[in-house]
Amino acid sequence: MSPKNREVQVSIQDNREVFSALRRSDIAYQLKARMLSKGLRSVDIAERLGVSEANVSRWFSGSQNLSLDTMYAIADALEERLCVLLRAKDEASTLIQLEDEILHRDWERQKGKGSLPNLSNLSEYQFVADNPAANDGFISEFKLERTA
Amino acid sequence: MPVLKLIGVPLILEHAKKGLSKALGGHKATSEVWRICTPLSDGDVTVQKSKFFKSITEDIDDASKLKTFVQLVSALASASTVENYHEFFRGIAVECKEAHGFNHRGTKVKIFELKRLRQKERLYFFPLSAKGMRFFIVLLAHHKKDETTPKNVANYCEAQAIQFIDAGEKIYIQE
Repeated sequence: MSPKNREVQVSIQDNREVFSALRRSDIAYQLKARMLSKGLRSVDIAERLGVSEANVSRWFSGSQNLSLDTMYAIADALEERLCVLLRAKDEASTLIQLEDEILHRDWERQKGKGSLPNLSNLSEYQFVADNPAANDGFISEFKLERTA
Repeated sequence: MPVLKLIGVPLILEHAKKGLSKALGGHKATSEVWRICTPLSDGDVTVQKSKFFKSITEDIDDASKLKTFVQLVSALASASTVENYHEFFRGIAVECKEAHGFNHRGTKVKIFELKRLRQKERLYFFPLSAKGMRFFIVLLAHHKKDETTPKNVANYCEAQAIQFIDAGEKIYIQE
């Protein structure tokens, strides 16, 4: 085995349990949160998918290893898109930084124009800017990472 | 002036274990209804020096505790995106229950703890509306050894809650 492969293998083994617990709960909880945000209940998802409500509750418990089919089915029931992206590890954080920079620039521009008299800082602006998008687009972005 | 530092979930995870935030692929959560933050006291130069982050270092000190802790953090992150967070916690593996309650200015104030069944890790927080926004003020991570909430935990949480409730509009929000 090459040193690089060995290094990656050790890293994966070291993190397996914690990463797995985090990823399972993260996806299930995002799905449940989106369901509630849309005013839907577990029984609605169950009826739309033709499964039992107990099944849906188990999916949202955060302990299960949801299959791709199940995740996409839930997204269908929520009438949302599920995106799986493959990105380099550094790319994801760079994108977040970029989003923050764009927001900051926008805030400074709006403030300069005097068009935001009720907002005193970037935090409040971000809150207001975030909320109109609450019903837009993606259910979330589940990104499978590749190591560079 | 009491200070609240807005904190992202990746920052909490990264503090708990280096590289852990990469497990999620760096996605940004959907819009927060409740903004996740933690108190900074006078001597805290960075959020890593805050009581909450120190409690992570002290109490979440092995893989088993970390495994539970990350699930609590993950649940809090998703709960922050819905109005009725109690509804969110209904039926999932992470339970949100009252850890300590007290009366302040004629109102019942509740400190909540997140926990998993049969696990001893706890995440203490309380919800607050101020400055036209809503906050989940995360106070402590804790590895609980007894049935009841420890006195020092309850006292700390109560003092923090009173401080921020009383400060109201004077709270300073740090990005």
